[in-house]
Order: sequence, then C-alpha cells, then structure tokens
Amino acid sequence: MMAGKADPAERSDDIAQLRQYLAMPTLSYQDISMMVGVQQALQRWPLLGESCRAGLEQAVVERAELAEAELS
Amino acid sequence: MISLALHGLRGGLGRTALLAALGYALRELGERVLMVDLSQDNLLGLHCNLPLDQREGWASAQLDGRPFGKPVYEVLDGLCLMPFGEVAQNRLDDLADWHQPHLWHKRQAALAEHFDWLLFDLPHPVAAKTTRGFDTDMRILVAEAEMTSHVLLGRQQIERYDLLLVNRFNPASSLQSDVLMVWRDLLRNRLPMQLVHRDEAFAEAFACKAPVGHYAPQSLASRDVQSLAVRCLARRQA
Repeated sequence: MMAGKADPAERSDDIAQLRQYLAMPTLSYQDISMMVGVQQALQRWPLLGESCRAGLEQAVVERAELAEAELS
Repeated sequence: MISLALHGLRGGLGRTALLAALGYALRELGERVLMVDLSQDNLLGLHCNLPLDQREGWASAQLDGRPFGKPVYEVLDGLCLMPFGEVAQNRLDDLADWHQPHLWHKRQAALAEHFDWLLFDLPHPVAAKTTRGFDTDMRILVAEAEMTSHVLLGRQQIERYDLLLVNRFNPASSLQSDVLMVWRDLLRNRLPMQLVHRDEAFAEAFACKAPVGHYAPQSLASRDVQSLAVRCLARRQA
C-alpha cells in the first residue's frame, strides 16, 4: 500500500477508462442525479416533456443520417 | 472595442434594464461604455436619468439630416448614452435601413476609438428578421426559465450566440428550477449560461431612473450583473 504517495499523473481516470472499455471515445460525463432530475421534470410538465421528446427524435434522425453519410 | 447586443427570445424580458445595468457595471470596472438605444420606444434614457420629455436622439438627428453621433449624453464619467430620440410613427419609414447591420458596422468603426464597449438595445425579439442578423462581437440571448422561452429556444440556432442569459430567475419556483435543469442538460458544452435573479431592485431602480447597480449596489440583481460584466470583460481581454 503506497498511501499518500500517489502521483497525480498516474491517478486513474474512471471516465477515460470507461470510454476505452466501451470503445466510445466521445462518451461524455453524465451526472446520474441530474439525469434522474431531468427525467422527473419532463414527466412533471407535459409541454416540457413533449418538446424534449421532439428534440430527441430529431437528434436521433440527424445522428442516423450522419452515420449513413459516413458509411457511404 | 467590443460591440455587444442583447437578443430577446420574446419581448418583455427586461432587456433594456439589463443593458443599462450591464453598462453601469462595465463602467464600474473602469471601461468606457456607450449604450445605443435602437428601440423606437426610446426608454433606455429613462434608466439613466434623462428627462421624460427628452426628444433628442440619433434617429431624430438622422431624420433631420444631422450627424447621427451628435446626441450623446455622458450620464457618468465613462458611461455614455445615445438615445433613439422621439420619432413620429409616420416618419419611421423614412429612417429606411436604420437597423441593418451594415449601417451600424460603419458607425461602430467611427465610435471605436472613443469606447471600449458598444452596447446595443435591440428593438425586437429574435423572431424578427430585422434584428436576428444584427452583427456584433458578442451576442447574448436573453430568456426567462419559463415555457414560452423554452419553446422559442428550441427554434433557435443557438450556435449564433455566445451566452444564454436567464433573467428574473426565481429559485423558489419549481417550474423555473426544472426548466433550468433541462436547459443545463440540453445546452451542455454548446452554450454557456448565466443567471440574473428576480429582484424587485430592478423595478425600483427604473422608478428612480437609475441602473440597478447605482440604485442598489448590494442587491442580488446588482451582484448578478457584476458577474456578467466580469465575464464580458474576460472575453474582451481574451
């Protein structure tokens, strides 16, 4: 045990390791409690939920188009 | 010199009071500031102690064939104001391209040597084509954490803006807190956000014809606007 002698440069970076493990270099850090809060907010206020679902569907379509364009 | 405009997602967001407050806060930081009223309502001057019956302004000067830059009032050392002036409704058309970016580009160049900041009080919400393309170095989008702003925000190209300024934020409102949380999630890494809290000091300051920082320097709103000014300054120095 090398307590107190950790080199900051060697400190493990959980997010970086997770990115590597999942082979998803663009994965961004997500605050879980915030994600839960956002989901509750979208359920609490129907117009907020509807607008965000519409936005999400648009984003999914755009991502699919982008992936298709990259493949072709 | 840096030019800056506050674009409103809708009308009635308190942009004129914010602009006067920001001008005052930048001046407190030692900057030389010119605030330009581009709204025919001609209200900005009232936030800076100009008389109610003051009629002079750049638009009225332009219509009379005088130089646009003549009616400049130095309301405090380093804080100047160019009012719109009083213009009859039927003469507004004669102003022609007064809100076009190219016209103010030339004028900005003429004003650049005298000021560090040029702050524009735009007349319309961003939905109006006339002001959407108004070109400045910094573009701040003003909203409130409520549903009209939220729906209209979804129709914006947010990449056009440098900052989302959430005005009149009330942390006691569960709807406002929720909207803000959703915006933080949606806009993460895309558009920075800054808050100005709801504060009666804004309304009182206008009733006393002063920018909020002058009327109530210790108020929450003043501190919020000071933070905004520091952020703007960091941008200028970058």
